[in-house]
Amino acid sequence: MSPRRDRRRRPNRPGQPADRQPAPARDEPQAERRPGLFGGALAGTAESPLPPMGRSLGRGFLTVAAQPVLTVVAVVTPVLAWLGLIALGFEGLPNRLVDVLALPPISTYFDLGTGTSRFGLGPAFLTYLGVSMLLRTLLYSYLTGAIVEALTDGRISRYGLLLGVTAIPTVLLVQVASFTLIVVGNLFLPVLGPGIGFLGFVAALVAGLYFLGFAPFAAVQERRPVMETVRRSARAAMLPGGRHLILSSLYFFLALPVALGLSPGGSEITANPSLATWVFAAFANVLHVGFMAAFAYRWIVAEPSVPDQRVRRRAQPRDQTRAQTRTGSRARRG
Amino acid sequence: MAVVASIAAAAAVTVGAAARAQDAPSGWTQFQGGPGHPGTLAESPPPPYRERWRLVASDLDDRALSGAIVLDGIAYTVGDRAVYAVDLERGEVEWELPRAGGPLSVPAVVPGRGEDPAVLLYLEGPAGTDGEEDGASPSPEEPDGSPSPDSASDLVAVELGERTELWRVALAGPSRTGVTVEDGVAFVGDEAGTVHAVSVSGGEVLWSEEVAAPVDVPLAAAGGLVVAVGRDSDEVTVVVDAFDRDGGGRRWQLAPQATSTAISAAAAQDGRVVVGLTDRFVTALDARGDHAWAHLALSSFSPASAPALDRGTVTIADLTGGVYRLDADDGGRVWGYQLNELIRRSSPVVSGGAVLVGLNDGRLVAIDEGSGRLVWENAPSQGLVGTIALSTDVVVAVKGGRDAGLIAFEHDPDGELVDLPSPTELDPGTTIARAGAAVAIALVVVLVPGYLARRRFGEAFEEEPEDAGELEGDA
Repeated sequence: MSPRRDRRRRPNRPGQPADRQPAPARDEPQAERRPGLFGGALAGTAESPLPPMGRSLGRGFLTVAAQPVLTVVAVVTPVLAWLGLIALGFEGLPNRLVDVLALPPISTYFDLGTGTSRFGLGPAFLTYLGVSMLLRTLLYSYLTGAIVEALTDGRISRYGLLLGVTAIPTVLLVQVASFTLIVVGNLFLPVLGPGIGFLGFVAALVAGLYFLGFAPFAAVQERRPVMETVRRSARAAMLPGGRHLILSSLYFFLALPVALGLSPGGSEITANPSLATWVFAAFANVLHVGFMAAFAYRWIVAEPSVPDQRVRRRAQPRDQTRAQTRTGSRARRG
Repeated sequence: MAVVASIAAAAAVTVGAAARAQDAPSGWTQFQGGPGHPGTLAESPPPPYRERWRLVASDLDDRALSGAIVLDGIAYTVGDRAVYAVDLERGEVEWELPRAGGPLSVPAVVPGRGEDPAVLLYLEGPAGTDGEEDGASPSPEEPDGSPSPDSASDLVAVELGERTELWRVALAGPSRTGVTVEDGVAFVGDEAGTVHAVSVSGGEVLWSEEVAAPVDVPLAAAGGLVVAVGRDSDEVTVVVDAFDRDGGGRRWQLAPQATSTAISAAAAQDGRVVVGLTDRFVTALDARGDHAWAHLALSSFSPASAPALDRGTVTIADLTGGVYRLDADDGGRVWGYQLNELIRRSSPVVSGGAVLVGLNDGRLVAIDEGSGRLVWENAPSQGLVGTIALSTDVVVAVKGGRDAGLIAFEHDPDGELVDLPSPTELDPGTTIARAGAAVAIALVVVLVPGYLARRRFGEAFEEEPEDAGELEGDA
């Protein structure tokens, strides 16, 4: 067995209480710097309990590639979504297909775009948004459970579906929070002007992904109350080191400007996308599910390191923090 | 029985066509063929077309030409340097009147009646302003912000027979609206936000009204209303004002919340006003300004474009190339066609049973009025195709680009029609075949390496690849 394997934990089966462990960390000498809001990423690289990006993405994409169910969901969902949208009377750019399965809040951005394009702003738009949010919640919950099962058991069964059911309230909350984030961003950020306002909006989207990205997997693994699950996700995001911020930013960059910008036939409004557009959309959605699995893998690895309580960064003297960290590391290795 | 039915149907078509011909204007005497912007002419050439002539403005020592109007075999167009009368048959300039610059806008002509001579109306000056057909003009201003008298346009009336100036009225600011004429009254708007009603016969200003924003798109007049669209790019506001045609006075006002000033010109007929608003809704208002219906387009609208509103149908083009035929009673879509090319300076017109519109890539396209399918298009070329005018045998359009000017098309009996559906019309077979092929490709490309990886590393990757593809160093 690889020395790393002891860092991964299998999810608790339904009915089992979630393990509560003190916040552990690595036993290597810790950087003395406090982690800060973005895990110290903005100030430099700090030691991180999260696996590195290459390993996270490698595990994420291998998981998707090794599980036909995940791959089929990733490549078939855009087709079904497109046919559904066309049946609703949607007329628009088929390059939107690349973000059908994007992680929230980018997926929310997709839904807002298609909704306003088809219905404008009005009651029909809100109905569309509500329905798409519910459908998305069900699909993402299933994907969450399936990915966690695939990562831990190497297969996907009905048990993955059951796991996904436990994530539904959290996934729904994430959808609503993403919608709120975008609406509030659209309302207030324009006052900052076109340049800073746009950057602020992008930062808000990245922040949404950063803080909420682990929440569905935390829900599946720990089955805590929804708000506590979201807090755990945010605490995991703020673990020392900048790896989560880098992964979130990379995903945002790939999912929006790169995927949308490089999509073939992106400027042609049509109901009949070209083969190239479909192929590109299929791979883009595999990318989304792969990133989803990478987030899940990171959560599974880092979950024991996520503190139960909010870390009081300023009240503790440095020596005490260091001592606590070492204790946590020993406990995790234990 | 079938024969009787056929004869009855043919008779109905004939009577309808005759009535249509009777009601239609005798020429294309102003922007969109009439004061309400019907955008149609009873007898006009059907597609396919071929180019008859091209008039290049630089050959006339001019920079560009305005949209044309047509009367009695002559097209009238405005350049910076002069107003030109162009022979429709050969495309040669018959005569010209000097003009002292100013924004280019579509003139109007009032046909002679009895002893009253035909009158040509156009806008002139202020010199030095750019000749673009839309957008803000960099006119000099007085210290208090109001345009100086020298920076305003004049409305000029010229008797067509003798080509002598009848009168001239100074406006409050530069004008780009062109001239709208209904029942002997000319209506123009200016960038000072004033709408003027001027008697064609004597040049008296009958009334002037203020709009809360610069008026730079053509006015519509019908059913006792004069409708002005105001746009303020600085404040990002738009306003639609309807004034009483006879005495002035605001009848109603629509001031929608706007995030841009991309609003179309208005069209009016039988007390109904149609305008493409900035929220992408084609909106119809009744004579009292009450909302009648709205239809969502795919994008917003060019201010240089107006809907064609005629006999129960609305035809409108959006900025990104969507052309929509709507029922004027309820806003229901009869058909829509997506051209996937910008429509910046052209309004849809109906000629010979086809909707014509000019595109940014230099194409003129024809969409069958009944089926909504593309039946003809010419090859793309440098310079957009803009405002279109119709005559009984020629389609005259503004041409942009290096060789800006006018281009005329005539019916080509040897040309070929096509029959292409809108790309927004789902072709289930093609789409499902393409999507299926893409799914198959993706599954093979993704699952085969996945299968190999699974064989190599086990079900849950117990034999984890050592930092495969590590992009970030372990700290």
